[in-house]
Amino acid sequence: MKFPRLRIFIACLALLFLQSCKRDEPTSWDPDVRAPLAYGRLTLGQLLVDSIFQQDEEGLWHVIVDQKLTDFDLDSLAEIPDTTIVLPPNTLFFVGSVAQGQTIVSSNQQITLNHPTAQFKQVRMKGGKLKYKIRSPVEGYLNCTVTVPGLTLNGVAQSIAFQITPPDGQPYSTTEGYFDLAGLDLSLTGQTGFSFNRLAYQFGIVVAPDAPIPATVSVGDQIQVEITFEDPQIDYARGYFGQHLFSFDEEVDFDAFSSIPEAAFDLNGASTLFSIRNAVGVDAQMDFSQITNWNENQQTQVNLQHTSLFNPINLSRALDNGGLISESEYAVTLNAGNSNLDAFLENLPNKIRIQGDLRVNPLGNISASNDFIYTNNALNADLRMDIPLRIGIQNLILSDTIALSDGERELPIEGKLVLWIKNGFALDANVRLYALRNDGRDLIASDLHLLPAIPGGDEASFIPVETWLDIPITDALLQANDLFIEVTLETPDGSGPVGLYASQVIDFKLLVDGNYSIQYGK
Amino acid sequence: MRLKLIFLAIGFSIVFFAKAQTPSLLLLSTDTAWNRKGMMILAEGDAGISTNALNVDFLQKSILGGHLERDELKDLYDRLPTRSKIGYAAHSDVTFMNFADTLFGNPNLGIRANLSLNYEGFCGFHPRAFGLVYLGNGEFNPGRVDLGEFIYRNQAWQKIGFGLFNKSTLTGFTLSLVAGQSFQSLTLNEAQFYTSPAGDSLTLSVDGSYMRSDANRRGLANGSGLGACLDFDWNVTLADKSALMSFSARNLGFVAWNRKTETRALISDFQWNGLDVTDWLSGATDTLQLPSWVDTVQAPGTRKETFKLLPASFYFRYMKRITKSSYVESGFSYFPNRVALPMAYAGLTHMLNAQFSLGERISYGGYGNFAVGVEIQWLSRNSWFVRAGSAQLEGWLLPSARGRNVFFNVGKSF
Repeated sequence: MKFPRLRIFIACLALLFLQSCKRDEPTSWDPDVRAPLAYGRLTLGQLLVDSIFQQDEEGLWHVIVDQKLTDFDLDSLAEIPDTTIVLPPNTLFFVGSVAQGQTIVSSNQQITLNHPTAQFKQVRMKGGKLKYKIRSPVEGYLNCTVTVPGLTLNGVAQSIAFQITPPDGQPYSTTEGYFDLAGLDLSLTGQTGFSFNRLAYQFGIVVAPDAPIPATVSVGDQIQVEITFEDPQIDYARGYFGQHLFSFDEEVDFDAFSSIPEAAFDLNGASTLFSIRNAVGVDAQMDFSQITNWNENQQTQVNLQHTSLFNPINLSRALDNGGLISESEYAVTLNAGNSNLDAFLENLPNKIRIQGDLRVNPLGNISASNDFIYTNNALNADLRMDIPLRIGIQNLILSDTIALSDGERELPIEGKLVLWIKNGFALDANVRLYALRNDGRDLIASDLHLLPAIPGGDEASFIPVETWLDIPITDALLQANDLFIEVTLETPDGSGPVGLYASQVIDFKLLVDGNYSIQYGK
Repeated sequence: MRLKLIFLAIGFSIVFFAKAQTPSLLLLSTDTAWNRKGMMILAEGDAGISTNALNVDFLQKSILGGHLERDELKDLYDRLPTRSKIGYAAHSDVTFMNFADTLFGNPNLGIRANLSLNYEGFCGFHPRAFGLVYLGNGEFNPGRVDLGEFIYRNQAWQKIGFGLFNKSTLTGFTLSLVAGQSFQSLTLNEAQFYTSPAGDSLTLSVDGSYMRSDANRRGLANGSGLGACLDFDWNVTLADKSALMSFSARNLGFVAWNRKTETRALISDFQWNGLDVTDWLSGATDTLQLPSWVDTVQAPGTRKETFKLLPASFYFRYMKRITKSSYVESGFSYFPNRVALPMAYAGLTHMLNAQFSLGERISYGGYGNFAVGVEIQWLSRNSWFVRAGSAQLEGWLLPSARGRNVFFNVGKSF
């Protein structure tokens, strides 16, 4: 053998060998795997995350709903409109040159608030401004003081002091300012102390003691004072508020049942406390004409019927014990015995509409003008529902979408998934599983029947029942973008309503039983 | 990674090659022109996998790709011995031997230098461990599966060494500086796998340890470890070349792996009950993520400098001429680890002329069972030396063979 041939032989052998070592495909095999994928526990506590679900001492779930039906706006009983008052002209004591420190005006006066219905004796303001404007033709520097005996802040009398400047070549000078009303108490009993809607004040003007020159008062000079109540807001008022008739028609969003899927419910044992609280020192009469609800999805309406709720309801006045309010309350319990409450609730309403009239002081001024109102706490109607979840269900559908990660979509398994469920609820369930695609969904498994728990020794105990469900692993399942699971719940035939207790759970395990394709190297 | 290394090593093996003992033709040939020259360069390479359990078809698909059919795996599993094992090795080596100079006043003493790449590993396992991995736990009845003892080692290192040798017998030694490239070790003294009757719980109970060298360092001589080792050959040839006895040792040494070497004690039960999706059902998360075993099966580890011996090996050979041109040969190899058996072999070598020999052998032991090997050696007049062969020839011919091996030497005297 010649040497060059040897080299060629070695090179060919090397190429042949390297070619034979080339990896063209991954190494793969399909072991028979039986393994758990997931497990969990399903409780109503997880589904009923809303605070409206509460347990009683026996562990029975209740739906507790506190719904404010309407907050009757009685602020209008104690409203002072924006008002501008021009005070009577002031008579000046002197004409001619007036020395510094001399008083030129001093008077006791009162202004009248004209209110169409209310006779206020006292009000406490929570907002607004008292604006003033002074026009003075007097040639000189003047100090003006307005003292209002009935104007107090935290019990201290308030007065207003400001300076008036000379007209400086004009017919008169103008001085403006405002006074914040928030927190002020106003006594509106006038100069006599027994009147109403009247504010007494003392008005005084002196020539400024530190003025550079004496003031010069001409014949006919008058100082004009104009005050304006701007956006006055009353926190508390006392007096006589007059007789009123309010009609109301209010629609209230009712979202208590928004998290409950559509189904035919047989609610049993529900009760509702309907209450009206009157925290206003006026007598009132409530007359409901109609209370209806509305299920937006089903487009169904149910009118509430009750033996006495729709008769006129007299609400006596609240009592004010030095700021401590004793409210009067009217309450009536609605249940299946005295109303159509079951049907009303089984409609699973989204909205409640309440209509009627409210009369204030139907008997006139019987309080010697001592009506009162704290405007932040007036007249409320509330609904407190207590629905024990002892229910009958037909066709309650719970559904959820399970988003799959890329790893799960590529799960290389042939065989089946095994779902083990231990059902502690006395409910029948049918499970359907869909594979979601971009253009629709494929039914993967249906009629997966979940057996109900067996009633135990007492009403609150149940013996869980185990069920094994096989879910075939199909191409549709493996190619799904996401999974959609739909569970239809029903109370078993003939069992009547069943209680849902906190102790009831569904334990489940998802297993895989099949050939799992393992591969590496590509 | 381990498989890639083997793959590469097999690729190298056609270029360089041969290992183990001194080629017999260099010792028995009457043509000694090659060692009367000034220098010889000998490139050696070998690569192979040997097993008493698996077949070439399985190994080929495992390394080069392909689908392992369940029926084949089942058939393989049914025939696995209780102490199944597999070993693999690949080496490439270049040796410079200086014949020209006189050393220490002894004209028969030469100096040699050696540079080599080395990859070795082995695995000992119980058939049920194989069955669990390749056939799945569904193959077994629910309950406990005793996986027995499991031992795995993989090591890669490079050597650069210098030594002395006898120019006529090639007896000599080489002291080498060792650069550790990587080391992995998994030892399970016992392991059990439990599948609950319902299949809703899997438990792996193990008692053992795991060690790996600095995982952040890759490539040749990467600084993961540093050590030293001794290789030696002792060859005795009768003056008339009628008999030859050799004793060789390889890799008598150690590597001190750096302080980032990680050791984990695995004495624990690793249980998998599935992913708890209770929180997911309460809306805590929208997407269900399957966990990985890596995250689930964990044990605390420590990192520190670790001293490990190299995988040493010992070889004995005796050849005796039985006819004018044929020698009978026998010997054994010993690999001191918990998996391999001593390997014994016997065979014939035919000296067709002073330049060409043909040998055939039958061996038993090591990581495999019986194997048939052949080799040819050729020594040209212009001092080329070529040796090629396989210790497991059947691996190249039969898919059912238990391994495959090749070695190749090219030498040139100047």
